[in-house]
Amino acid sequence: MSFVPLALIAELTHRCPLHCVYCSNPLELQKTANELSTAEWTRVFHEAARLGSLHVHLTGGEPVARTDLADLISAARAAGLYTNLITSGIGLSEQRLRHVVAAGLEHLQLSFQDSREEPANSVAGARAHAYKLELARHIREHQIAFTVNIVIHRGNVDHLDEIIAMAERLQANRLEIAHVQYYGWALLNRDSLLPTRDQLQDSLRIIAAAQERLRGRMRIDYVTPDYYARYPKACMGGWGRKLLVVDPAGRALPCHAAGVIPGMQFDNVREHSLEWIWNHSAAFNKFRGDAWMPEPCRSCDRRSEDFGGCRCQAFLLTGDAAATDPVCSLAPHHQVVAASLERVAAGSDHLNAGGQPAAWSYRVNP
Amino acid sequence: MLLFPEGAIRVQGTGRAILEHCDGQRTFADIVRELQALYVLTDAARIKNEAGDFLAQLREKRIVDF
Repeated sequence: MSFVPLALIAELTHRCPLHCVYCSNPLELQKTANELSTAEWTRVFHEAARLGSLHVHLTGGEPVARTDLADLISAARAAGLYTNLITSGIGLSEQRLRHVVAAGLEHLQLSFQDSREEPANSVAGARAHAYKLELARHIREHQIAFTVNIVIHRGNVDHLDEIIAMAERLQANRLEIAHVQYYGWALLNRDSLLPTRDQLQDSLRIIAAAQERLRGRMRIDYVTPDYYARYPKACMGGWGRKLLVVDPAGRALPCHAAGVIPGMQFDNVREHSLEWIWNHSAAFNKFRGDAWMPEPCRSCDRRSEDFGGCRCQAFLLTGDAAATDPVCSLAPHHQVVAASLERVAAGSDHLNAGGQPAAWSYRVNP
Repeated sequence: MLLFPEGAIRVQGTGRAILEHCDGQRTFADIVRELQALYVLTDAARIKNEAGDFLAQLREKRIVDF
């Protein structure tokens, strides 16, 4: 069976002016000195296109921190990739925005932290909200697809109506509402971020109504919180099946968070072709197919839909990357997830030993 | 292949012919007229209806704008 990396996720840098408490980057960030050069990324884009990739997602960290961003966009377009910039917007002046659009950018995804300025800035650890609103106006002056992205959690999920109205005002083509996924920095802050079950139910109702009302005007994509799901998510569409991440230093990963799994060697695009890494490296083959699966996955009818869930989450919550993802209600380790939801329900989860609200762990810079 | 945010659709045959006429300049009436000239054996009203439905479906998914 052969697989095609339909999209390349290019983490151009781990530098970022924001410090979001739910950042999906690994705790161990790649240093600036190790970043791939313009020429190296250009080669990677062409190799990905030859493997069959259709999309490239330029992300980070904050990809705008790369001074060669417009050149990288031109290179991705020249390789024939549909080019998406995932950005906080910070550092993207009107002039730089014009440059990246002129370079061939097709889709820009702008992150927001909240509809309200004060909590938005508090989560980001920076005064960023007002700047983003202003930038969004300028984005609409260009003919590119525009997505507003918001990560939701206990602190902002009750503002969903306002958040949807904000995206409408900003004339987004698409709104992506994603519950926090608990890896990296988000896992450190999980007990202050997990929504309650009531909050989740309200959010589902609000989103369904908005999808209906906005049909044909603004598409709303929604990422559910897997802790509350009965079955796990098909993380990355399955390990090494659809998506390929290259980190700032050139390490190729089946998932953003895969670097946490011990005992694995992730090969580098500086030493191997992307084709070899995707098709032949030990890391990309490790969790392909179902031979690696434990029970109950191995005999489960859903194994070809969710692939046993997320390997990184399995490792982070059970210490074993080959375990059934513990968010699955059938998983032997499901109790770890159930216990954290019980703490949320009891309202005691975010308090430290002294009974005080725990302090945020802000993402640092590499 | 039609590429859009977070997705791709392989478009062939008449769907492809319709989209190849969508250049941000032609109006819907222009496109229908040209398609009618291209598919002379097909009923003109049917071409108009089916092209309209096809583009409306893509607009609903926010893949094309008009």
